[in-house]
Amino acid sequence: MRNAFAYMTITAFALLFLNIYSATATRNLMFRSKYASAQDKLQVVTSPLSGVDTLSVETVRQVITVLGDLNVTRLIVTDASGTALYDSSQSMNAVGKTVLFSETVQALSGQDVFTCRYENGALKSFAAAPVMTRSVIAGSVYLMEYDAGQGGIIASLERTILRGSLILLAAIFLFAAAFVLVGSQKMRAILTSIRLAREGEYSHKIQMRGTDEYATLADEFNKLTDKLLESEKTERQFVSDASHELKTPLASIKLLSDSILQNDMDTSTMREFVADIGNESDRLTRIAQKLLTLSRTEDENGETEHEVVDLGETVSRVFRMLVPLADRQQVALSANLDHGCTILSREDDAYQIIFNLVENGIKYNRENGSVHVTLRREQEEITLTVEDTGVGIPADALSNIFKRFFRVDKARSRQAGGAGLGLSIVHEMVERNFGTITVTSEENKGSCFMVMFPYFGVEEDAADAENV
Amino acid sequence: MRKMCNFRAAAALAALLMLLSGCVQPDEATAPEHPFSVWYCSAEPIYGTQTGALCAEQIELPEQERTPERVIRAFLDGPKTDGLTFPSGQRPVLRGVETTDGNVRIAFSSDLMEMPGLARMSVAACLTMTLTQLPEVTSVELAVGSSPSVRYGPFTARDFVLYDVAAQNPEYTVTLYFPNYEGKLVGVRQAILCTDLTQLPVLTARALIAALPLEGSLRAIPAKTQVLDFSVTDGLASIVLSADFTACDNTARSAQNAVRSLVATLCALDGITSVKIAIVGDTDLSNYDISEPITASPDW
Repeated sequence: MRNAFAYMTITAFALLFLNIYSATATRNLMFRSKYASAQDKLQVVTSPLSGVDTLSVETVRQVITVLGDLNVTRLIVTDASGTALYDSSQSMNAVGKTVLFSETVQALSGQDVFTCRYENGALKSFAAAPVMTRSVIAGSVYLMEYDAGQGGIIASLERTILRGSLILLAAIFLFAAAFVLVGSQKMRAILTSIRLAREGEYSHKIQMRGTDEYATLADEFNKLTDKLLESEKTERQFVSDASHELKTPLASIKLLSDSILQNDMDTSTMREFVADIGNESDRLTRIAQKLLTLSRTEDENGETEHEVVDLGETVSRVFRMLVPLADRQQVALSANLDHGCTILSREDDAYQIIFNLVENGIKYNRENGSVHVTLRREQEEITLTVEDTGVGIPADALSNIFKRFFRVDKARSRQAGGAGLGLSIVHEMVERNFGTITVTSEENKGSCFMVMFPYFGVEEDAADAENV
Repeated sequence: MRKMCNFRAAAALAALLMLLSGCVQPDEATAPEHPFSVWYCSAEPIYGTQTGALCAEQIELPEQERTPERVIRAFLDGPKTDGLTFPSGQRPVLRGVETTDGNVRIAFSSDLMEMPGLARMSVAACLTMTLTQLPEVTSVELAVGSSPSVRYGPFTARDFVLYDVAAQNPEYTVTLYFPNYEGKLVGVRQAILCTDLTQLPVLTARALIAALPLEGSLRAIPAKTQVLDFSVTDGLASIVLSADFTACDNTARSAQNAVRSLVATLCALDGITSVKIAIVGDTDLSNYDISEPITASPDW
């Protein structure tokens, strides 16, 4: 409504300017035309009068008679003292009287005068000039033209422009009102939807046709609510999954502890049960730790401080930590690392990524299997590859492998102490450190995880690859 | 936000009021209690007024002091108002004032004779306009000393034309045609005051009906005839006359004179080439065919 009012105001001012300008321009044009005509007529009259020795009623009348009809409304000739010697008006004849018009007085002081006014629908022009006889002012000539015709043209033009302006203004008002009506309806629909979305009703969609800004806004709103809906679902799913995962070890702990309390059992059995309680507590602790890590990853997005990290050193540290596990699982660890593979990353993130991938490679491997890590620098890209000879991932599960709590084989994962969060943590960390991760796998053959980061660091001399 | 808008609106209104209050200037001088107009000339030309080159200022002059001599001396003191000036560069010296039968004879020094004609007439005009406000004054005469030969006037207000009335009520000269005794039309020019040109033909027709013919001419149209309706379309003037017009239908000659007089007069106006005469009640003339439009002929 405010915009429509602003447009109306601007349009009204523009039309007002148009009316004033056109009226003024037309009048000025006609005034100039009248001025030229008046000057010519004055010249026609003053020239012969200037040749007369003495201006008198008779001599002036003779001269005017010779000149004929000058097509003016009134012509007055005076002597030097302002006394009228000739007056073309029959009804108001001023001959013998002293004419003290401003125009004649100015002319008798030696000045040419011209004024033009538009009054009461008529164009009135007044002109006067001195009659000079041998450089002496002998009298004056005054003429007045009352032009109702030209005045009518001006009036008609002004009326037409005004009428057109009013019609245009009315049309603009109607269009503006229509647009405001339509626009406000659409805006109300959008506002209603926003209020519903604010109350949590993300499934409500705005149905709006067209390609204008409102339709675009409605479309973007619908996409936003779709995302919110999806995010809400994901959140619910996460809470549900997390609750389920936490509930399972808690239920086991409860069951085992109840069994101990309710049953008489020998010491060795009791020790077994207590050990199981300990294992489930450890599992619970790992799940909670991973949930915390995931949460921190989300919270810290955009607030992390990145530094230059040498991935080769990181791989070495990971290997030192996982060697005991690898030995227990009878899995061989090996690596082929290029020098100078530095990236811009958080130190902890880089460690977590490599640790999770190598740990998974060990856990989901077969006896006498292997995990091989490759680190390559190619132009401006660092590629970290973790290959294992493990059980592999079915093709239909590959697209979900990075989702939270997703496990290909739940039984095996539980046995391996997993909760389905490790790869989702890897995925989040890779992405927030400007990298990408892909996976290829073949069941019963093994998996290959490839992580790519942009190279960041100082230039160094090329060196041979180091075998670990 | 609404509070801010209200504040801005209030500030704008206050600024406007302050600006307008600055435009209204308080009167610097209070109006006289007993005002009397004294006429002078405008220092700068002012066009479009009804006082022409003259302008009056109000002075304080109680009723009991309003004598011709007192007024003349007030005039000779000169104007106090900005924008007014004494009619002549040199002010004449007053020698005497004499009032006889409403005519005020003012004797001045010889300076009056030495003034340019326009200045002297301006002095006369100013004094006439000023003194004729007094009830006992009808005219003003200027004299030089006691010399009887150098006198100007007597002047009345009507002797001075201050503005062009024709600018408000313009005059148009038309030609009225009257038949002479030989049946030929004779044109007589007459001025008609008319502000609306569309009314000129009607006024001309009425003037023709009302005019007294000159010697040697005849009245052709019956004097009681009235113009009931008139219009012009594409050069054709349609005129409806009252039944009194039929009084011209006594003879063929009189009917012809009446019709030709009217047609020739109207066709002499711009924009009219032919005339269709109708008489109220669809009456026709028996001695002249007016059923068709008639065009003026030079042979008339």
